[in-house]
Amino acid sequence: MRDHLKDSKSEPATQKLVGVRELKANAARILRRVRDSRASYVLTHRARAVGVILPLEAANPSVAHDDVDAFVRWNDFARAGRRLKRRFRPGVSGVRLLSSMRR
Amino acid sequence: MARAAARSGRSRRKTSSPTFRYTLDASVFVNAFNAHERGHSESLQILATIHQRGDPVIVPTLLVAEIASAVARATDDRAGALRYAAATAELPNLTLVAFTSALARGAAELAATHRLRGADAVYLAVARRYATGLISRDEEQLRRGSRVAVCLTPEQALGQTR
Repeated sequence: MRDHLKDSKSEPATQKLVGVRELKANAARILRRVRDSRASYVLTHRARAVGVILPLEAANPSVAHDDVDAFVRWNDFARAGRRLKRRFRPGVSGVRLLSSMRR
Repeated sequence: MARAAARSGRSRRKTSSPTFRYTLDASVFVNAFNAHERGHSESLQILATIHQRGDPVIVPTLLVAEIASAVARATDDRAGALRYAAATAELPNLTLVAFTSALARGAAELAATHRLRGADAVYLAVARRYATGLISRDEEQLRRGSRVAVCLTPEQALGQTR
C-alpha cells in the first residue's frame, strides 16, 4: 500500500503544485522525485489544476522481491477474505448495509 | 473461476494489454467474499484481475474504515473484519489517498452539485482527481456518480479488461 502521508518525508502531506513553466525548467528534478521519493504533483496552468503527475511503480516491471511481496500481500488478503466466508450471515447484504450507512 | 483467481497470487502483467487505473468502492470488497450475495464472484474476479494485471488502484483512506464497519456488521466478527480491512490496505498496487482539505473541498463541491452522499463524493473526488474509473456495487453511487466520473460495475470492468 502506498500512503502519501507516510511515504514522503521530504514532501508535504498534500500534493505539490507545479506550473507548466516550473515543470519545463525542472523536469529532470521532478521526474527524479517522482521516481525516487514517489512524490506526486498537481500540474497547473494559469493557476488551474489541469492534471496530475503520479508515481506508478505498479506499472513497472517488478523486480523479484517485489513480486514475492505482492504475492504474499495478495495471499494475506485472500486468506482474510476466505476466513470471512463462513461468517457472513445468510440474508444479510453487506453492500446494502454499507449503502444504508452512507445515508 | 473466481476462487481460482483468488488463489493465484503472483502478479502476471500482460504487457500487451492497456493499463487502466481504478478507484474501488468499499462495496466491491464487502461483496467479494460474501457467497450469500449476488455478484460476489464477479467482485472477487475483478479484484484478482486488477491484481494480476498490476493496474494501479487509488482509493481514499475512508475505504479501510468502511470495509471494517460493513464487514463487522454483516458477520458479527470484529477481529475478522479488522483483519480483512488491514489486508485490503496492504494490497499491492493500492494507493491510499489522505483526506486532505483540498480533497474535502473537492468532495464538498461534488456533493452539493450532484446531491451525492458524503462518502460517495469522497470516492468520486478521488476518481476525478486521478482520472480513474470507479468500480462499485453501490447502485446510488453508480447512478449519481456517472455524472462525475467513469463508473463501472465489476462486470463492466471485467468486460473492459478482456
